Amino acid sequence: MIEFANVTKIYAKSGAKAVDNVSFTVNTGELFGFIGPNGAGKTTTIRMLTGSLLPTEGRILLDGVDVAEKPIEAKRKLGFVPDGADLFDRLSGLEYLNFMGDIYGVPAKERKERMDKYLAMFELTDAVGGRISGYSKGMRQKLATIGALLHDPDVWVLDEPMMGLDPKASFLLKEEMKNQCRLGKTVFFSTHVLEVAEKLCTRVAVINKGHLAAVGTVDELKSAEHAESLEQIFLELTGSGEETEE
Amino acid sequence: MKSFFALMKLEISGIFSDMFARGDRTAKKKTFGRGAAMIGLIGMLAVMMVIFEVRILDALIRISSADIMLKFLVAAGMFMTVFYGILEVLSRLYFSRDIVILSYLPVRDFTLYSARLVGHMIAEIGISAVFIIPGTIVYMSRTGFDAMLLLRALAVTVLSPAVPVAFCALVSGLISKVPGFWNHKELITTAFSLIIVLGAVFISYFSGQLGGSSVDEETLAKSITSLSSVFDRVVLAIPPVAWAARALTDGGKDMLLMILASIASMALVAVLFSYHYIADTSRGSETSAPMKKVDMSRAVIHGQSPLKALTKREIQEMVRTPAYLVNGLLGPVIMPTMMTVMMIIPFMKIDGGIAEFVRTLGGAKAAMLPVCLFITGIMSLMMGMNSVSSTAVSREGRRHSLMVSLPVDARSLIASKLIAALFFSLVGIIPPPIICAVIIPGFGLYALLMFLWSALLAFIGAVLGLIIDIGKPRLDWINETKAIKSNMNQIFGLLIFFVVLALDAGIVVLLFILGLDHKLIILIETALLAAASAVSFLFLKRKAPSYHRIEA
Repeated sequence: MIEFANVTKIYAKSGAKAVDNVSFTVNTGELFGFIGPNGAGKTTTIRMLTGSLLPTEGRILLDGVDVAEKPIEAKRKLGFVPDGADLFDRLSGLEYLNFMGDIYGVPAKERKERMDKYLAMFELTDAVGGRISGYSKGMRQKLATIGALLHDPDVWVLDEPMMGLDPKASFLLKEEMKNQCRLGKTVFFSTHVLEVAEKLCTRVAVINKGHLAAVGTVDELKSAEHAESLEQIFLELTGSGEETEE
Repeated sequence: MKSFFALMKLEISGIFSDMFARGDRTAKKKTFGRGAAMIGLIGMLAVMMVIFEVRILDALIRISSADIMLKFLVAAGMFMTVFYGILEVLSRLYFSRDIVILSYLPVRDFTLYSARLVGHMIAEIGISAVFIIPGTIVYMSRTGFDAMLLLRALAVTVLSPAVPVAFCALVSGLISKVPGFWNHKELITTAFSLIIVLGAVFISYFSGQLGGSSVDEETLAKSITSLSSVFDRVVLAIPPVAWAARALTDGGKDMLLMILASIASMALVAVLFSYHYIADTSRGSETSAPMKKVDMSRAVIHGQSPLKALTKREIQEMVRTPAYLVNGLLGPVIMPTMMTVMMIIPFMKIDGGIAEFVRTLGGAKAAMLPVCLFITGIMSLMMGMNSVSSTAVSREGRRHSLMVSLPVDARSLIASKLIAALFFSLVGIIPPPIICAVIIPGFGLYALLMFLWSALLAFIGAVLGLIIDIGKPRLDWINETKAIKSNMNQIFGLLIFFVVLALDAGIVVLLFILGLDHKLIILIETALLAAASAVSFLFLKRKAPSYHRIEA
């Protein structure tokens, strides 16, 4: 379970308030979509969740563990696929996966089983010996996904995971996200693709200019906003879609 | 023309972007601080040059060849521009990530290429200025003020980098045409980098041989006479170097030739290599999916600790990245040995060899400690050019958010960076004591001291570098050369380490002046360095948690 309690983030450098008093809960086993326009605060929220940024105010709890107070314990629970999949270019795909395995302390047997499974699933087995610098954006995204799943995390966090993926890989990723939820894991992802969120998510949260605009199932939001689609809800909640700096 | 200037401005602002803090409440103060640090470093280099030049010039005036110093400085500036610029030009022209955006713009290949080239040339003026301006001032202090000479010096400072930059672009262009370059650019660039480094080692060794022992003025004058004849025959045989050198001393026809050569060389490479430049360079951002199947049954490493895994990754990244290999490892790994050899060779040529030199210093008992301290100081000075630690966090770039999302505490992350930096320092400081122990009779124990003190200084330097980089890492670089070479933290690290070294040297000199027993000096020096190491390490330990507070 993920709990955001009155989370605010003000960047020290610029003084900009990127996230303003956000509170919501993601239950265990949920596939939760986090949507919002560019610069709404999605990546900042995800970075606070993954421990990359500290909240200025409020708390984020991962299965009851405060990310700011016990970051190592909290981070062990999650697997993270960053936006843009900036990985370690000078390592080979295999070296990267072994690196992630070492960091999360994944035993060799399980490491190999999961590598075999996911490399085959994402059709990366033939390229895993090559340097990451030679990978396409989609291949990096796939490798980052495998790296994040290698330690079988309880919470899987993905920042814009569909970006750069071909339709087949995108389909496989969505299937794996559903599969993880079936296994009782929590999946939290941000996206711009509203169709994906509408079809895939058990619940969604809409963030706009740092404020949480709505949380609930797609049906709940439709009836509350008297809208017919998530797209309509999104446009209504985010107004003209003006962009702010994140 | 408008797009040329816009692109050139973009190029120059990219090169100097680290100098100016933006988007920050304290931006002005930081910009001022960075500017002051840069001026401080340039000033320090200039002072070192002036001290060197005054001595050389006095010897040259006695043999009525004062002009040779000015010519030598112009040539040195041009060669240093090639040495320091060649990888920068290669990476800037062919490996920059911004080509992805620039390739969409409606600009001609020639416009983009020439804007990048001219922008880079302007940035390189600093190198020629460090060589030419202080030299000209020293020259005028001895021969009298000459306004025309000053004007010529300014013109040569501004224009002399053109031919070296054009040469770098020519070499880079030719390398980019090597078959398979885009598929094996890292391997080719690494091989090329190693050739440059070995070339630099050879030239330094050769210069050391020519320089000979500079014990007294007479020997110095003789060495300079022999050096200047080689300089005339070898260096000034290269026409653009000769024109630039004589443009400063004589002006007239040579000034005209230098101007023409500068414009022509830049125009020529731009014409030669701008053809299909955008399309070719964009290939660098393409990806060639490397189908390299591995035997998965043997592929899994049987677990290692996070600290080991992190350290291994740091080292792998350093040795696999050409820009890091040359800009980060040249100083700590090669220079200490190079300088030690260069310092010892002249004394081996004295009649009676090193033993005779030691005898002239008052015998082994009196000479060994000063010799040991001197060599340690010089090799540490070289080792101080260790940017492995002072750019360790910066090099993470956009992967910083991935690094901090890992379940590893900040101290382990920082420790891995420190261990990697020390690893490279150790590779550099092990050979010099061995060389000294073999060559200098009775130096065995002092070689151990040399190693111990160098290791402690390397530790202090690495720790200080890391403290600086944790405080203000530069994570927004567009190519790896920018991450390590054009990083202000490297300059801050250098400055602070030099200050520490100067303080240590000052204390040691004071101990000698006070006439303390050598054993006591050894004890005090060891205790001082150990204490400084411990204090700096405690600072790093306290600073480490702020790694997780970096807001990239």
